[in-house]
Amino acid sequence: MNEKGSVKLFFAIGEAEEGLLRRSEEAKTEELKKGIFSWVRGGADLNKKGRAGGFGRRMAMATGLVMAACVLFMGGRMVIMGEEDFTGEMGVLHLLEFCYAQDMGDTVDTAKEGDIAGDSAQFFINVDENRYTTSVENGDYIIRPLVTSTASTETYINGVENDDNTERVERGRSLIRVHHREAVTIAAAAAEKKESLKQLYAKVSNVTETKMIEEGSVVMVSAWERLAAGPERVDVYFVDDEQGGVFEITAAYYAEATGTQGVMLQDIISTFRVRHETEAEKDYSEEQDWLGGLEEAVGKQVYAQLSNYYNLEDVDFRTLDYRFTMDKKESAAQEGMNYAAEVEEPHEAVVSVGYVRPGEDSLEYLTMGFVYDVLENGQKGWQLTYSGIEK
Amino acid sequence: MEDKEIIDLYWQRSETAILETAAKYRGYCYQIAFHILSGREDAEECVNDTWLGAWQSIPPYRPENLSAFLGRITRSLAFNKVRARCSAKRGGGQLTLVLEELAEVLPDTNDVEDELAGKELEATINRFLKGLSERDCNLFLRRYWYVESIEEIAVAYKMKPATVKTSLHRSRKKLKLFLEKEGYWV
Repeated sequence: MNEKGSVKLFFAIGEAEEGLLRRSEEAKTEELKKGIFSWVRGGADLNKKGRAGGFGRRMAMATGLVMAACVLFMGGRMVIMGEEDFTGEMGVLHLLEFCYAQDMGDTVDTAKEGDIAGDSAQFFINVDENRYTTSVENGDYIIRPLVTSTASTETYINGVENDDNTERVERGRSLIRVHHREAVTIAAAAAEKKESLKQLYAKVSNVTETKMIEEGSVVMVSAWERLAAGPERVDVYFVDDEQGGVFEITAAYYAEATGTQGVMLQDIISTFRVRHETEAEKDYSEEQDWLGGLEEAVGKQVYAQLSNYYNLEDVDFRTLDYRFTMDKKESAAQEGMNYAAEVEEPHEAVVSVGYVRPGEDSLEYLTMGFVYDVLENGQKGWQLTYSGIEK
Repeated sequence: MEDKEIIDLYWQRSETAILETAAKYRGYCYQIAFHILSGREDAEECVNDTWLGAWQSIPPYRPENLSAFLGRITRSLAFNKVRARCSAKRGGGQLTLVLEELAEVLPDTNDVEDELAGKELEATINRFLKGLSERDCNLFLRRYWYVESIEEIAVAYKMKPATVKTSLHRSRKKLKLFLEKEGYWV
């Protein structure tokens, strides 16, 4: 390990300007406040379920605890912590990345920040970062092969170096471009593209249907023998965005690389799919489900463990520590390609609640271990494995 | 109590300064210490040492931002505790991971021993941070300043852990390039 350099860097980062630190703290606080509201809401649900099940008082108390803890946090004393212990290799995402494409409305500046966006993603496409770079340029999502040789300006024709400059193709010019158009049908977009390609290429195919992308109806048009300098061939695919618009996906490459680079670009394009709104909501809700489920389990256990001894409304709750162990699993693999998507699911959680008993001034901690597993009802949820009070 | 009033108490050498500091910033400092130390008792001890550090520094120092000032003391004390613990082979928790992640960014062959070079590196880091987007800068600081775990950052910012990791990975790559341009890589 490069310890000396990293320690220096650690301390140099420690001198980050106070304004930046404050900003990160404030942004976090804002997000946590939102989380707290959802937690309180979870508590309200508990209360409702409790009445239905005849445990009204118990559940109401659990809700009271949640709200007390929230108030404490707002006063700046509640501490929420977590620690990961991924079973997978930490760096694997850097190599094989399930790529969330950036919102197409983003600026070029954002492109420099990376192509990974969370909630604003409009589509998915798998990109091997060992071989390709991604960026957003003028609102288009661009995938380019990494140029590994110095041949980017060499001239080739039919794979042979060429001194005649009349028909040259520059290496490193091949790319995939994803362009989004609103308020247009795929038929109209394809017809328009065909006409524009005729201005640039000697040969242009008819618009045909294709099954290369498994995403509703897709049509494509190809063109080759470009009249001006640039990639000699383009294949353009049109995918319905299901919101009245079209994704126009262009693979551009030099003609002699049809069987190599062209196929590789097609492989990438074949992974394209539109991200549906409901899907985004589902991702979010799944994440919220396990977190909310844990909060619910904690609320129940705190009540069960402490309410026999104290009136919980008189207990001064101080800290709340979460530590998660997450499992990393491959959820999908593309046939014939070594791409994999990864999902993370909680495996275990250790939750520690710090509190001061009425009339005392020292902290006690109720520590609980949970495992995320299939419960008796067949649903996944949190199961208590151990608990204990530490003074 | 306002920070300025607390600082005035330090300057008056009133021990109430420590009580007020603890009342206002205990949670904040405890959080930083706990992330680095991963142990409740050590974190408590580190936080108490922070008040002592502040008492010894103010005066003559008059911090413009008390929370950041206290956070830096806690961070530094916690770091030293972990180093001592590591030498006793008790493990370094998140800090070890953070240092491993940073190791790829700056080589240890680089000579930034003297104070001037250290100050230059700090200024370089600040320039780099200001060049990041607000989101990436926030994530970077939560990980490498506050030593928070990926999962906790994800929960705090309502993001997926994978997104946080990717952002951090990209920021580290950018920082490495930035430092290369600034001549920190030989």
